[in-house]
Amino acid sequence: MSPAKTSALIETRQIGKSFGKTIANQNIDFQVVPGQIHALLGENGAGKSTLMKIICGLQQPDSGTLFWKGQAVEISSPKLARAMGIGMVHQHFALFEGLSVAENIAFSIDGAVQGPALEKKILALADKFGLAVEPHRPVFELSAGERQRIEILRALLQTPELLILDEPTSVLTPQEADQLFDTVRKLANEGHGVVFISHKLKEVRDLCDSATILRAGTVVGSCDPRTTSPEEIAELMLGSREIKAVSTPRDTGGERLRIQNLTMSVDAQSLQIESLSLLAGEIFGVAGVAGNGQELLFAALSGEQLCRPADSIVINNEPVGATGPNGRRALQAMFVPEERLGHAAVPHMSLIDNTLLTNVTNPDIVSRGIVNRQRLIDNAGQISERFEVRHPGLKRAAQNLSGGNLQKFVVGRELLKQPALLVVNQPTWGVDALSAVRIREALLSLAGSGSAILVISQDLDELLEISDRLAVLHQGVLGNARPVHEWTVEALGLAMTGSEDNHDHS
Amino acid sequence: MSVDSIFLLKLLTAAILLATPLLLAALGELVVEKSGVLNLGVEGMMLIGALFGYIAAYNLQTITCLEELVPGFCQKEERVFTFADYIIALLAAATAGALLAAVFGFLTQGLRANHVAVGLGLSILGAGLSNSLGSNFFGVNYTSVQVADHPEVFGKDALVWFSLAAVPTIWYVLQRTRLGLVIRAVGENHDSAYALGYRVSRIRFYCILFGGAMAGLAGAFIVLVHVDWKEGVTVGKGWLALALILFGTWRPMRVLCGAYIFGLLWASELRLDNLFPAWQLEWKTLLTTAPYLLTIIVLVLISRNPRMIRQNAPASLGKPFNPPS
Repeated sequence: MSPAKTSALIETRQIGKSFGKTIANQNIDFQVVPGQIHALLGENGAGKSTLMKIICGLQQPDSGTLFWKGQAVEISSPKLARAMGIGMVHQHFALFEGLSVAENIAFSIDGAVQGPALEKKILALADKFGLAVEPHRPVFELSAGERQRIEILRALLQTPELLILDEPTSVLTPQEADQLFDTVRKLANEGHGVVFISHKLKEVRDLCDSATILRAGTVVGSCDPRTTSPEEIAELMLGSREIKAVSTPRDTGGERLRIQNLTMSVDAQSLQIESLSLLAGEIFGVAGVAGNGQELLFAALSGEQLCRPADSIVINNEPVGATGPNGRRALQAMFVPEERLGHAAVPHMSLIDNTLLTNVTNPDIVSRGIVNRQRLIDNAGQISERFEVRHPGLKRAAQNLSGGNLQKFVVGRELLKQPALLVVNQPTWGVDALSAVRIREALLSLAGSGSAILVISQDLDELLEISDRLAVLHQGVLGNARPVHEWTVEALGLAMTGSEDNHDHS
Repeated sequence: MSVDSIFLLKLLTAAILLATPLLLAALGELVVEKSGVLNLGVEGMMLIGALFGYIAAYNLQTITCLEELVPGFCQKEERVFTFADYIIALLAAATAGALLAAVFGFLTQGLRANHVAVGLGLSILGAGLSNSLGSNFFGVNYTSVQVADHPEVFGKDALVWFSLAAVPTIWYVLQRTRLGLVIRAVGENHDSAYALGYRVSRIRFYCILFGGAMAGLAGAFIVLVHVDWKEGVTVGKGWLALALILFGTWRPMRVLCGAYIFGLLWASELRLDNLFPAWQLEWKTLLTTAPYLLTIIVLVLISRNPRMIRQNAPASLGKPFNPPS
């Protein structure tokens, strides 16, 4: 540890914080100097978010001291943190969904009033930072990627001396991420300090000049990521564990999903799919930047949005366009939506009750309208056992689980039913590396047992790793599908940004 | 003027008399709900406001002589009721309403009690308190003057103009100022607003006080301009004001339209014999339920448009806020 009189912007000494019996942070020493881009690495649940919440005043440490520019400080509220010059982009968005984009950003512009003038001002600022936004749209209509841009813009407008970015790139395109990195480097060159939390080691190696690695609430090491090998860093993060998904060759069988001339338009989103056929044993990847119709595609497949004619979507040879989610589940089609909390699981309900929610058509669990409670509990237990869900008890509310564990639970809940067709949106979003590998392995083994899987994801590496075929969704139009080995990352990037007309390839 | 146009003027005047308290109370509660608080105690706050407005006016020797508001409506001559007296009585009513609201604010914001439970309690408390204090003060129940026709109210009463001016003002403050932005942010997502550094409970408390003051004014209008004080003089207008906010999807202009539609329906209901002499009793009874039916129909229609609800309804409405420890 450096002596007290360093020029550190922020320094934590022996910080400790626990929630009940869970120790989130223990004796954490951490510092960022001006001009530094400092990576904070660790699995989900390693204590990164807690440490950052302490620094930006959202939580108070149980023990230890914080130093801001060499002075011992107590950051008692987020307001104080902001006034001191600490800005944070949260992983879970802190946006006001009912307000417009402009109004959300207005909070970060001193003295800004609402109205048309504000929208113009915001367009100019967004342009300056290279982040595209539509000021008048209400936030609830936006995709995760679009929301992320607003969060980042909001933080940048406060010109903080210390900027904390919690997984900022998970929903950005490579181009958007590059622009963000340029902005971050510019800030660092001007003498600002940056804390960068990410699961993507490649980004960290490109961007950061130092790194602190956390595991189970304690600092297990620090390094210069530019000179340390990714393998070494990964080992520090995970301990010594295997992190490689296993791919098994698979046979394909009959047609499980067919989409023919599907055209829909709901609110501001549109969807257009000429034809798509998915065979048993096949994993089909849908790539694309957030906000290009992924939500609508998922809703159309799951039956949350019905479409006409009914035979534009065919599951297991049954036209289902006019059939709701439970009717489709009865055909052995299962669905895992993007949002864990609120869409895939009800936050305040127990894991057991959340298990029931997608099992109402399962005759083993519900017969003649009566729930077999014991079988339901067994089922929930099996899910958490099979998919290594760490949880504080099956009777506890879903919101008590960490993101990665809840994701394993909601994916596992559908996998356990051995569906004939599985549609999953962002299977590993915001999930730590090890959980992500587990989820991908489970998907691959499900396909190996003869299921058809459609994966919608913004993580290209993930899609390239598990998909057999891949197509790009751009502005609601699904391009032509090609086997994965015929794609290159460059071609995908171009198709995703609409720079290349991917309909010409057949 | 022909007989018809006199009748029309009387009808409009009655509509204004009935709509104004609805509008005042609903506008106040609109701001409260926009900040994420559901205060079901509007009826109670209106009653308390009505009582204290009446007591203040009574002490200023005003009740029997609203000379400049209502010519010829002066039975007991005591002293001329001045405009200043009227304002003092209104201030007393607003203060009383705000004080009762402060109780609600303390329980829901300070002690984080359930909004619905406390709000219902407030309505019951307000009704009981105004009854017992009222009968202590006046001894016996007043027999109220039934919807008297006061054409001069149209264009003369300050509170009518105030309520109309409040509509664009509240719209402007909510939609075009920083204060309004903060209020809506607190009502939309209190956790995010807290993370941005706003004092959620304090902002909500001030909004609750404003709502209470507006409800107090609404009650005062009823007893100072329209009818005499009696037990339960607000006859459920506080509840109707709550429905009116849903009817208007939290938009001041629509709340204004709703208030006047309700007022007009109500006024014509009291003049059914003049309007439709041939109608049977059943039809007249049906018309009396019109405001309620209309609210239900509008609610069904707007709930078919989830986007509109999402954009206008405060998402944290009625949820107690617990700051992270």
